[in-house]
Amino acid sequence: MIGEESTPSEPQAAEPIMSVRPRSATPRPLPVLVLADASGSMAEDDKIGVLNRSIAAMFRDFAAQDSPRGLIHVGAIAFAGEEARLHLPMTPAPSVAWRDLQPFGRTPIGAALSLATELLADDRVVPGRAFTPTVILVSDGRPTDEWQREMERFLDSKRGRGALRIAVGIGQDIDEEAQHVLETFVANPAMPVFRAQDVNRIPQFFRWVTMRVTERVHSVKPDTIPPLDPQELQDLI
Amino acid sequence: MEATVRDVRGRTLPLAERLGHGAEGHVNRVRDSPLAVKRLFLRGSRAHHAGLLEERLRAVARMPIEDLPVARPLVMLAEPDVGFVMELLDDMVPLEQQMLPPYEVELVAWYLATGGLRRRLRVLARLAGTLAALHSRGVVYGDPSPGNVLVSEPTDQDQIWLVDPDNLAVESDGSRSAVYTPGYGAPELVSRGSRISTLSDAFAFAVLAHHTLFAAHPFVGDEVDDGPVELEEAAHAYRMPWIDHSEDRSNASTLGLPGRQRLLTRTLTGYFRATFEEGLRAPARRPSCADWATALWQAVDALISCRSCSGHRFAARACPWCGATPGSDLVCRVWLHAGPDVFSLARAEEAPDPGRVVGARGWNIPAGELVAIDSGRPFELTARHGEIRSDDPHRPLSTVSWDGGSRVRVANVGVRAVLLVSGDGQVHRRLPPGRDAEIELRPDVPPWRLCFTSDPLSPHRQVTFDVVGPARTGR
Repeated sequence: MIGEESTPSEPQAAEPIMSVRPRSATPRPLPVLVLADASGSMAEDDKIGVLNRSIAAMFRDFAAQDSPRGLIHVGAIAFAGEEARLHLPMTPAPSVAWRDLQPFGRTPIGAALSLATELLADDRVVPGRAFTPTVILVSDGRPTDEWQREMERFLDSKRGRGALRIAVGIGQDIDEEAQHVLETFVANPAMPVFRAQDVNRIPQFFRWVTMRVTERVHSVKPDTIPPLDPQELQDLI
Repeated sequence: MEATVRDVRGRTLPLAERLGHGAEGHVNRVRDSPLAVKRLFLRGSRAHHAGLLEERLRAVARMPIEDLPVARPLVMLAEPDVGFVMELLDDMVPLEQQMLPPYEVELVAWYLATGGLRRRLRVLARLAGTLAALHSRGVVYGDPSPGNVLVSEPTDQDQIWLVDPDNLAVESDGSRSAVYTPGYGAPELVSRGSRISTLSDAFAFAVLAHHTLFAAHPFVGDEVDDGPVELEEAAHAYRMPWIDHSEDRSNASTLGLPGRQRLLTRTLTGYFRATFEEGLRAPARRPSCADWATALWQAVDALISCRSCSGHRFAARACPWCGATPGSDLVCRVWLHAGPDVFSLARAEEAPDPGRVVGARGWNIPAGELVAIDSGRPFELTARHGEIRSDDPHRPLSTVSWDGGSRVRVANVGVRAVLLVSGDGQVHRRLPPGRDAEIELRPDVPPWRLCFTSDPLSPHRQVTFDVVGPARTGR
């Protein structure tokens, strides 16, 4: 009843386990990319402070999710002044420390979308084995650059199109055009654009996103995006 | 965000951490109480879901499972949730959280620190035994998965608790479509829409056992692990061979613990192969959960602590962890002594090996079981070893302690007398309950026997004591 030592089909079997340093499967990355408005107007009412704290809290919650199915990776693009910058390269959530965004200048959403398209298409950033990304667009006003063409490119790209896209408009300055930009980004009539007219609703929005994303990472099928619960949403729209 | 739920009796229940998650919903602990809450994901009408769930729970309440470690549903949740409150044990965590490797962990150190091979085999033996007990009562569990099975949080314990009672079904009931966890659901559920059965439970159990024992999913080879999500979905639908397929090596794996056969008995190796090769398309070829339970307990019995490292090895085999060659091991072989009614006296007297005959009548038939004893660590022989048929296989009968040399002490911790018989049959020592005795093992004489009876002529189980060296194998 005692089994065989090893078989020829397993050449490594003779090595003691302690001397081969085996590894287990690494969980698949579940990328979350935040496109964050860091324009000058975000300084009013400390919108930027609340946003920084909300994103940091969300990333901390992500880091605490331990699931063999998927590991949340987070990245952030900040748009301000005349350009969009990679504020946080895509990193496994447990190794992230959030650096606060500093607000200045204008709202170049087009540049942010361009950078996002490029980033998501890069296999070194989002490897082929990754789950569908989640992309969150946060803005407090209308774009100050040519955004239409970049939006089209983003939505036409494989990963941009497949992503779970969520948008939130912050503050009183979300006029019809700004709202239109966010709706175009989400491009899903079943997924409304969130409104956080009051600064205090920003954390609420990010807690909701946290719940959605962590639900995915624990889900038995992370690429099946769970249906939206209208009741949950009512408070946020 | 939502930190409380209400049940239909109007109680508000504050939720604590998430414990498990099945295919259909989440399970959370209820803060400061021996309760847990399962909430289902809502798809479609709430009333419809709630009605179906209530019907299922009513059926579960009628099932004869009070004595099994399965959470019993207590009360439904109130609107807007669909779910129910159930019982929970203290200090239990999902198997997934404790026994599947976490992110970026030093695999070997983590494996040994979470109880090593011995605890994993024991936990799995208990799980297989519980599933087998359900099956023997005509009940199917439905969705055995790492998120549905809770295990003791302290790593020196090995209790289990099943938390998905709403999927329990009577086997003959075909009214519900199957709920399963991808990667664990049996092929006939995934691709043919078959109903859950004792054999689909057995398949999911085998995947869970493989994943737990080796830190490797049996269908996720290197290419699947590196490939896109679609490839993993194909593996989870069993469109690729398992990683240790006897002919097709296309899905081979270097993940998890290497040299997997070293960590198993031959029986268990055969069971994995039978389940994942022939049993993939032919459910009836799969070993049952009762088969698994027996084979896993036998493997636990044959395991001893390595004297050179903190791992475990099988008696008379080299240590798979550090490679240390085996020293002298004390091995108990379990025999069935058939009484004179079974075999005639004449045949017994013509036996080619008179040493295998007790007195002049009856035969000793190997029961196929073997117990290895750690020196300095008393081993408890239970009804599983010493009784031909037992209501409680874990009831203690005798403890065996070995000094690592030639002295073995046997203590009767059961309720009936046992008999120690020297190898030559010349010495019989009766041990009443509560008494102990020491025997000396000598290489040149037939081994001592411990007979679980006070009448050596009646049919009974007995064990023999042999010290085996590295040159010999277990039999």
